[in-house]
Parts: sequence; C-alpha cells; structure tokens
Amino acid sequence: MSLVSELPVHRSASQTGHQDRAWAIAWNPTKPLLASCSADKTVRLYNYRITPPSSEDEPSSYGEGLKFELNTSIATGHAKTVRALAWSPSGNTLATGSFDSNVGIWQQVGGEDEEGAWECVSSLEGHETECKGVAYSASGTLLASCSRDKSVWVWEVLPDADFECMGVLMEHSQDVKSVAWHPREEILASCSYDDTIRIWIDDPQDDWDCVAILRGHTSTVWSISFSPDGDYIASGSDDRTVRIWKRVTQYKWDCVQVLEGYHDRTIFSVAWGEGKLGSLGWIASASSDGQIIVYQVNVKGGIEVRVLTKAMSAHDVYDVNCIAWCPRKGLENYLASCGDDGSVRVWKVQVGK
Amino acid sequence: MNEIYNPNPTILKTAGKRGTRASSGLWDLDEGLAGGCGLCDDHSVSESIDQNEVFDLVRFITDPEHKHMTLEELMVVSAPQCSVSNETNRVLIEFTPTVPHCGMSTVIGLTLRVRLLRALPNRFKVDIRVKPGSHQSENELNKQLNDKERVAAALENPALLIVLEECLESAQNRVRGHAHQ
Repeated sequence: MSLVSELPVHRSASQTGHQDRAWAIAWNPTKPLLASCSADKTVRLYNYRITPPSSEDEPSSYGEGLKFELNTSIATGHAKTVRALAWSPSGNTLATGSFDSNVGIWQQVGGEDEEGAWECVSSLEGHETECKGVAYSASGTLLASCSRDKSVWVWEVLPDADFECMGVLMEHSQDVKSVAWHPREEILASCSYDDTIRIWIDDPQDDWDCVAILRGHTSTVWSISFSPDGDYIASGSDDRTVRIWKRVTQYKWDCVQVLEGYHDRTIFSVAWGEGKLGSLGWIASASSDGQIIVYQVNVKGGIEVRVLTKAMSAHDVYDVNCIAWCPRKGLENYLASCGDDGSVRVWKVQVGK
Repeated sequence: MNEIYNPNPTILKTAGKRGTRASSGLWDLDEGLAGGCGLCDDHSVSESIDQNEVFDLVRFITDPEHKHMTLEELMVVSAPQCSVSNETNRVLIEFTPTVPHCGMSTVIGLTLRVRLLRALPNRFKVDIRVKPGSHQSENELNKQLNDKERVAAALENPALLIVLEECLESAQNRVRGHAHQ
C-alpha cells in the first residue's frame, strides 16, 4: 500500500561521456552491452558485469549490482544528431536513426570476439527529413523507421546486410515520433506529433495497412511500449499523461487507464518491462520534469496501476529523454536512462525485504 | 524570406538603455499579464533572476524581417511578457508577433529560445509561446516552439542557423557592451 520513496531506486552506475544531449539508450538483448546515442553524433557502447553483493562497489543492502565500463565510442559518420537506437533480437546488429534522415546498420566485423570494431554495413536512405525512431520486429526479419516526413518505412532484413523496403506508411498527418513492434506478432505501432497512435499490419492481399487509430492524447505522443504479454500498449505524451491501451479484439485497442498528475512536463519516454512483481510487470515513464516514475501493473478484473517508486531529479536539473528496462533474464529490475546532460545512468529497483 | 509579412510595423520608442524600469510604465495595457507574474520571487537567494533580467537578455534581439529593429522596438517582447519562477525554475516568454499572420514567428520564437538556452543557468526550463490571441496559428506555433526535438533539428539546419545568429548578434553584443560600462 505504501508508496515506496526514492530509497529503493539505487543508482548503480553513472557514465558521463557524451559531449551533448543523449537522446536514446538500448540494452543489447543477448550480451552485456548497453548502447547510447547523442547529438554529438556518436554511439557509445558500455560493457557491464554483475558484481556480487557487498563488494566495494555496491552497498550490501542493495544485493548484486552492475559494474559498467566504456567499451567503445563510435563516430557514426551521421552528419547530424543520432536520435534513435535499436538492437536486432540476435544482439548482433545495431540500427541508428539520425536527423540526417538516414538509418545506419552496424555490425561487429572480424567475428564476434570482443576486439571486432563496429562498422556501418549499410545505410538506409528513404526518409526526406529527420529519422526519429527505429525498431526491429520480434523475429528480427523486419525493421521499421519513422521520420518528420510523416512516414513510417518497413524494411525487410535480408542476408548480407541487405534491406528491401516493404512499405511506406503515410497516414500520420505530422511527424512520426516513435515506432514499436508487438513482442510476438508482426504488428507495428507508431506515435506522432498529430496526437495519435496508429496500428499497422501486413495485409497479405495488399500493402501495410493502418488497422486502428488510437485517439485520446491531447498533444504529441512521444513514446509507446507494448506490455511484455502483448495485450497492452503504454503511451507517453506532451499532454503529461501516460495512457494504457488494451487490445480488446484483434485490431481494436481501447484506452483503459490514464495516469495523470504524476508528471508536470512533457513525457518523453515510456518503457514496459517484465519487472519482478505484478502480474503485468512495470511501466516506467520519464519526463522533462526530471522524474523517472515506476508503476506496478496488476490485472484484477480491471487493470490496476500503482506507483512503485520514483527518482526525482534523475539527471539533476536536466530532461530525461529515454528509459529502457534491461531485457536480460534476472536483470529485469534494472533501468537505464539518458538525458540532456549527456549522461547515461542505470537504476536498480529494489524489491522485497 | 522573400515575402514581407509586415511592411510597416508599429515601433516603440525605447530609452535605448539596458535595465530601464521606466519602460514598464508603457505597458499599462499589459497589466493583466504583469499581474500574472506574481511568480517572481522577491525574497530571492543570490542566484535568482527576475523578469527584467530575462527581458534584458532578449530585448535587443533583432527582427528577422526588419533587421535594423529590435524585438523591444517592435513591441514583440516587453518585461511583463517575461515571467520567472525561481522556485520551480521555469521561465515563460509570451511574445507578440507584429501581425497575426506573421510568418516569421517561428524564427522569432527560436531566437528567443536559443538566447535563453545560451544565457540562462541550466536549471531553468524555458517555455516560449505567442501571447494568447496574437497569432492566427497560435496553437500550432506554440506546439512547434516547445517541441524540443523540432527545435534541436532546426538548430542543425545551417541556413536557419545563419538567420538566427544574425538576429542574436545585436543582443549578445549589447549585453557584453554593457558589462564594460
């Protein structure tokens, strides 16, 4: 019942490094690697290892921890800000979306040993203006990208770093801010400056089709995240609310919850993770107000959401731009964040005891 | 930049000096707004700032269309249109486009934002809006000027950056000049 305060959120690592605003972070799904990207046009990769409880790095009360070190800083060659990042499900490929309108595809050349350098193996050109989001489908066979040019592109991932455009989805009336794939099915969600979320599927008879428009937010929708079971979507908006949408029929999504009054500036990022408690896991939201808030989600008849914990000035006085839950087994209570200070921080949400 | 949106703007005769409080007397019309600036913290700690200081940062920015005139002279900004909260670290400027169809309003808003980004302590969150009722595309303008991703992308556009720097040059020089007086 009690609202847990800052204490259980423990900053287990802090990395300053980017020379400018850090826009996005992404955990590698299979390897101990965390990536961040920035207006400084670089991508930084951090290795991490699990440290035992009560090592000198980690107060014993916090249990095990993670220790980070910089693996490499990649000068991407993008001509402008690197805005977005996505790892392929295999963990072998990293996609970057840049304000220079291109999507970069990065792989470690010379085998998968730790020494192999990351190189750009492909550059996807198609967007007319800033690319703002990239995402791999669960199978890794499709890559989606979105842009200020109002379009979403779906690319098929072919062997030898080759990509083929499968569809250009043009129904948003303004910038498309972000894209996210369903955790199992080939269902794509996009969110926009036009205040809507759109759901897309590959029509076997035709092209990619918009099968649903989710209306309710009263300003730009910055970020969307599917629940781990795929039955819900969380969205974060400039209207300062988080909305939770439930899949009620195959292609119909209804808003079942509005979380308002928690943030008092734009919400830039939402992330829905497995968590360690709660039947539907944990949602985290991050905002220009400096807060990261973690909500626990349960289903008891309806959906039940309560604040589990929060970090007030997560990046000191700066905006928090992106948050991401660690997808690796056993580390579901680790959350990474990045902000306008250029730093990447990793948080541990303490449970039990 | 080819179209002229306001060939004959109304011009305010300014005292031409920085920090003049007398000018606030010219703004009786804006009393409502000035009253809304009760956010200002009088019993301030050393680092707190007030609306006049914010105004001083932006008043000498020149208009992108009328390059020899400042935003103060064109009555685009005034001290009462700048509000500050030192408690919540917020700064809000509500500027008045010279005409309700002014196509330069985005650029003016950007110059205000960039000036404050460069000059204010990092702790301040800045909101730039047009004064309610002063522009026919008020909501669209406000949304655009406060979308930090669009602002960030605009600032990576070399052609736009040249225009912004021209507008800002005078503001930066005159504050610097004052420091030597």
